[in-house]
Amino acid sequence: MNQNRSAKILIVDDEPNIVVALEFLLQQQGFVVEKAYNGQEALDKLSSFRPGIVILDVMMPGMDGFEVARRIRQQPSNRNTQIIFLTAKGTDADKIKGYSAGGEVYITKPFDNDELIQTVQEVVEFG
Amino acid sequence: MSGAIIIGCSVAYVGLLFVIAFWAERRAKAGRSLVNNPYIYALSLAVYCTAWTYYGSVGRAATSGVGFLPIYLGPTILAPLWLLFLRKLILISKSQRITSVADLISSRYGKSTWLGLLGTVIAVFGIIPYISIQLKAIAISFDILTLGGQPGDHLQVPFYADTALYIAIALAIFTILFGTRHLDPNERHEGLVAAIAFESLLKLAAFLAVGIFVVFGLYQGLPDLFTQALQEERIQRLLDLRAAPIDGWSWFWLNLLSMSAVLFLPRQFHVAVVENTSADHVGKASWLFPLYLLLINLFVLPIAFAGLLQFPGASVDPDTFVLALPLHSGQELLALLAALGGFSAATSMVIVAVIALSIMLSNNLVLPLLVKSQTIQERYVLDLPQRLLGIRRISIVVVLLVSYAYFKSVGQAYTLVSIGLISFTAVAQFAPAIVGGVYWKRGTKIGALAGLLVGFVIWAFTLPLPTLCETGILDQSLIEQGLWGLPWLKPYSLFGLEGVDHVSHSAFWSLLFNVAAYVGVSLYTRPNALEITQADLFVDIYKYREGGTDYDVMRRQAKVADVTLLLNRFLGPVRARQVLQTYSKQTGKELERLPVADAELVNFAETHLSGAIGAASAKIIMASVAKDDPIGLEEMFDILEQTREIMQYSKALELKSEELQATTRQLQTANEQLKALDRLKADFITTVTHELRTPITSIKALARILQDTADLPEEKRAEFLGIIVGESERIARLINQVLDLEKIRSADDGFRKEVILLQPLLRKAYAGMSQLMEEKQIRQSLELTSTPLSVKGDPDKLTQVVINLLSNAVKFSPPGDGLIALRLKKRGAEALIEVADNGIGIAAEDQELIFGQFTQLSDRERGKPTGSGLGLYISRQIVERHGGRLQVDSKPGEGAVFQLFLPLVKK
Amino acid sequence: MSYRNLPMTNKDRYAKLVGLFFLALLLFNFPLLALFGKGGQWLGIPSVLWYLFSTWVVLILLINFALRHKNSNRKN
Repeated sequence: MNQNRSAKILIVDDEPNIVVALEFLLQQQGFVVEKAYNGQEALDKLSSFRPGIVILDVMMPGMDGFEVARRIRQQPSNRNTQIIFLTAKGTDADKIKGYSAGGEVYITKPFDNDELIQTVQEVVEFG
Repeated sequence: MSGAIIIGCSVAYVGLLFVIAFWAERRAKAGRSLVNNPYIYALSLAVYCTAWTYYGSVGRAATSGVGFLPIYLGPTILAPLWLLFLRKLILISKSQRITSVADLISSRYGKSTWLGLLGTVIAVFGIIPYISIQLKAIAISFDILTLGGQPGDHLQVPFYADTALYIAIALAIFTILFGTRHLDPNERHEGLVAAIAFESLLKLAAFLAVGIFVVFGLYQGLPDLFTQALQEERIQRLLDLRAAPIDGWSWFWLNLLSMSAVLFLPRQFHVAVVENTSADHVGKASWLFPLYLLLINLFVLPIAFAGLLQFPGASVDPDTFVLALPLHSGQELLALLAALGGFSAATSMVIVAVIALSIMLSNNLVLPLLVKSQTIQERYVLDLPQRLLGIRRISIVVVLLVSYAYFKSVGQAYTLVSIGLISFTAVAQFAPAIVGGVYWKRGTKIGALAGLLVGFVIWAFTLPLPTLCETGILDQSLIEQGLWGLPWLKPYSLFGLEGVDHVSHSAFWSLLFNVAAYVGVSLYTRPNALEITQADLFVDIYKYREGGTDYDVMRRQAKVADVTLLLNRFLGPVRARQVLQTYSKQTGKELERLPVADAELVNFAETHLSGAIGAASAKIIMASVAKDDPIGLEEMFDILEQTREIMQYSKALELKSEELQATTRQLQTANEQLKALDRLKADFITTVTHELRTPITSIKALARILQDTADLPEEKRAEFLGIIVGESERIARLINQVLDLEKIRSADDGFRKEVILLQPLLRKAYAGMSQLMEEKQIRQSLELTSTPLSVKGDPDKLTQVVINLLSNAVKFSPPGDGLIALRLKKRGAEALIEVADNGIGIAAEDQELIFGQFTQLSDRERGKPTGSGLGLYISRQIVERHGGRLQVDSKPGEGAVFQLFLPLVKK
Repeated sequence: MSYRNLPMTNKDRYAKLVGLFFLALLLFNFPLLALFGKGGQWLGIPSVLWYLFSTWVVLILLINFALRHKNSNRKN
């Protein structure tokens, strides 16, 4: 659990209400949380915050989640950063796109709180 | 024997011939041709055996022993070559529609009118003596039967009292009835051929009957006859070739002359080539015909010797032995049969010869003259066939009367054979031009003209001319002194050649000069294009037939110039040049070096013409060029008419296909629209789904937090509940808007139509929003014109639009420094409602996009605004349903003015 | 396969016919003719007639044969 508490998570979503919910949930579990409301903001905060996990919304205005993931992967310093996609788009094609963009896990909206926490913890432990 | 019986028998015999001819023509029309077999063909060729053979051979044998034979040995020697030469002539003639020997020569050398003319003249001059001896034979046989064995004197009696004249007239009528009852384009007369074949049978049978009677009736078989005959020295000498009046030189020339005669005599050419029903008959005929000749010659020497034994001291003309022998033995019936045989031999020759000459005269002499004269052509073009028959009939009468005149003035003084040989020598002049024409491509028109002319002049000078002298019509001194007193111009010893008989003398010189002129001049003259075409067609006839038995194959050839002309005419010069260049490139043939277009080029051109004028027309046109017939006016008209129809048809098709294409395009467009709609629908659903999921996600997550976290601080609890409520409203709003949209889309009936005064409506909407604007510290401005403006429509919907525009303005107004104005103005016949803000503004390229579904511009810059993205879209739909326009006027950073135009209600 | 069974071409046939033509030309002309024209007889008939007519018959048969051969081949 120490690991958990020390793990830093960056939440990226253009929906502030979802960010509110995620932030509360993850902080409750002891994660250090940072928020970004669009792709560019996420990339900006990445270098300073250096999160272990990025929870990434796909459908965002401007740069979409896949593009953000690709850019994260381009940077060698982000080698250990895990990406969890969080999206309302739940088709298989979208999932494949997500994995190929460098995401480890794909969670569809609306998500179950427990499942989300469990997935994040799994990623922290085994990812 | 009374003249009445003989005339009666003759008339009955002629009647029988008519019956046979009529029957044959009936069968031909019924498709069961009587004459379409090699036996009839061979028998019809036996028209070669005339009164000359029938009476003259015996006469000749009585004076020169076997000297009568070369005339029949020649055809026999030539017979093996018929399959090569005669068959070739037939194939050529059928493919070229040749109607006479003069036509053949004319056709071969570029369809020369002059050659046709010269050929006709030679034939007429050459054959008239020949016809005259037939008249003589008939007249004499008539005399002998009626006058009891003595020929009458036809020289002294005036012509109106001369039986020979009436025989000539009767033969003219007979020939007219036989040969000119109707016009056949191929000059085929099956009835005539059948009658001729029958006559050949009759004369053979009659002659054999006389021969058998003589050998076995008067003597006890051949050995007995010969034994008795050879006891007489004058007869024995006849069989000793060393002492006989005929030598190897003369014999050879007679062979040669008869070889040409059997094919080139006008009547022989007519039956062998023109009347031929199938080239395949030639093979069998080439041994059947020699067999016929053998049979008819078997008893010639026995009859001659018997005559010499029976009538010593030249009391009877040997030419009449065939009649005299039975008559003097009291065999009147046999004599009558013999006379009928002779009559058939003579009539068959006269009929065919005169018909052949009349065809030549009308086709190669009179017609060219008629055609040359435009006015006559115009006048008679309509009844040309009738006109042609008239010409034929006149020709027949003229030929027979001239023949009679020749008989009356010259013919009587000479034997049948000697006059016949004059004709043979004349006809032999055709041989170089024909044989050369069929086997030697280099022979030219000028060469053929030169050869024929020289040969004809020498023939006339060395054979018929001296006969005129000898009979006293011309000065006798010509023969002895030579022309103009020049000794080397003596008719019977030209250039001093002496010691040979007149016929071989004439044949030698005329043919020598003929061949020399033909070959020499040909080598020094150039053939024109048509001559080259024809030469190729004649010489290579087998090549053209190899592709198939169809004669059309041969026509697949034309002059390059003609093909070019046609292509020019129908494709235009530029395209035509391209086509020909393409051909040159593909085949590697240089067209300039190719005077004759081969089948390949013709096909190539036809294919390209087909594209322009249709395949049928192209074929007709190409065929007319390829066989070198000029395209007739009527034919051309037909083609043009056909082409026009085809073009109309193809134009109609084109229109149809254009219509179809248009329909297809429409359908495609409709399909695209449907697809687009479908895609839009799918996108819409995806978007709506996404728009629904987003608030549900927040609600669900936060609700679970509230549920799971008992020790949640109150402010958090309140915040979360607030969000949940807001997101629920968002969902409700979205659902309402989607329903609105559906309503707008589906029908107009969701709209009330009532007259609305705009000022109160705007005030009400403005009041509804002013609370929110005050909260956001936005400066507000309401500027409504005092003029009451009314529009027609649904007040709720219009209020919705205005509120939507105002809430958008609120959304994008800078917090704390916002400025929103709602204005109403009159713009012509329209009311203009403006909602202005001082927000971020909208880039020009985005100003249309914002009216689309789920397009939220602000997203790009700063997070997602509240709202579904459907607001402006729905607003525009509503405004348009009211007959108005919704647009935006904005620059980035300078705020935006949404302008709503609505048509005013006229008071 | 014997030579006789080989199909006779048109060229062969034409060569035969041309040969027959020259043969006939030779046989029916001087000087060969003169050999039989010395006034002799055989079985009471002048030898020149024997010669001419028998040659004639043989020639007819030869032409016939040359053409018949062609027909039988065509049927094959």
